[in-house]
Amino acid sequence: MDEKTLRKELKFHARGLEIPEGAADIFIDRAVSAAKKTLSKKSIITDGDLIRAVAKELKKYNPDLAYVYENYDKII
Amino acid sequence: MQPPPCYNLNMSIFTSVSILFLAMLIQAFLQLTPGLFSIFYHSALAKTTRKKADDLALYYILGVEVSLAIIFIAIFFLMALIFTNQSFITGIFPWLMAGIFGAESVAVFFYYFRKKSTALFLPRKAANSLALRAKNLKNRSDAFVLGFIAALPELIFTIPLFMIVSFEMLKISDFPSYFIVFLYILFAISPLFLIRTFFRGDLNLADIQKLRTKNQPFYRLILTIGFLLLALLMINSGLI
Repeated sequence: MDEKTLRKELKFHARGLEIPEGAADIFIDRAVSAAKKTLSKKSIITDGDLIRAVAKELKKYNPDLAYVYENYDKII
Repeated sequence: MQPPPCYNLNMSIFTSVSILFLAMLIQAFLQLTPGLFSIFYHSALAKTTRKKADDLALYYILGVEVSLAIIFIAIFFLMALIFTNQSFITGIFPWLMAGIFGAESVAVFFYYFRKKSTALFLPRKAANSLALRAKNLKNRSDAFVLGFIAALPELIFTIPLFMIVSFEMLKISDFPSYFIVFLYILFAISPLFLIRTFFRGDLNLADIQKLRTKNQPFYRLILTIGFLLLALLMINSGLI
C-alpha cells in the first residue's frame, strides 16, 4: 500500500468517526511519519506490519481511529 | 392412565411457540447483517451528513427486511406444497431437521466466528467485497441493495430456521401466518435498529465494535445453545 492510499484511508475513517478534519490531518501526518521511521529499519514489510506500526502511533493521538484502522477487516 | 387429549394439543402448541421464539432469537443473534450495517453507517458518515447517513440506514434495514420476507414467504409456500397430504415426509421431517440443527450447533461453535474477533466464516475475499460495497455506496438504492444482499450469505443458517417455523405454522392451522412472518422479521432486524440508535447517540464504530467483540463469546453461546435446543425440540416433535 503506498502512502497516498494509506493517508486517504485514514482520512476516510477519521471522517466516519466525525473527527475534525484539521486535527485528523495533524495526527495522521505525525503517525504516518513515526511509522515510516520505525519501519525503515525492516527489510521486508508486510501489510500486518504496516497496520500495526501505524495503529501504534495513532493510539497516542486518537485511540478510536487507531482501533478502527487496526480492526476494520475483522468486523465481518 | 392416558393424558387428556387437550394435554397433547397444549404441549404441541407449547413446543411450536418455543420453536418459533428460539428461531427468532437465533435469527436476531446472527452477526453478518449487524456487522455490515455498522461498516455501512460508518462509511455513510464519512461521505455524507449525519441526517443523510441515518436516512440511508433506514433503506439498508428495508433491504434486509424485504430480502428475509421474500425468502421466508417462498419457503412457507414451498413447505405448504410439499407437506399437503405427504404424511411420509411429515414423519421424517423433524428427524431431518434435528440432524441439521445438531450439525449447525457444532458448526456455529467451532466455525462461525474466526478466532476471538467478530470476523465470520465467510471467505476473506467475499467479506472484503461486501465491506468495499458498503464503502462505495452513493444513494438510497445502493443502501437498499446492500441490505438485500447482506441477508444472503447466512442463508445456510436462515433457511432451516424458516423451514422449521413454516412447518410449525402449517401444523397448527390456527396460527396467524402473516402476523408470525411479520413478527419474525421485526425481531430479526431489531439488532439493526439497536445499532442505529447507538450511532445516533454518542457511540461511533470503535465503541460499537468493541462492544460486539466483548460480547462475541455470548453470541457464540446463544447461537450454539439455540441450535442445540431446536434439535432437541425437533426430536421431541418426532417422538410425539
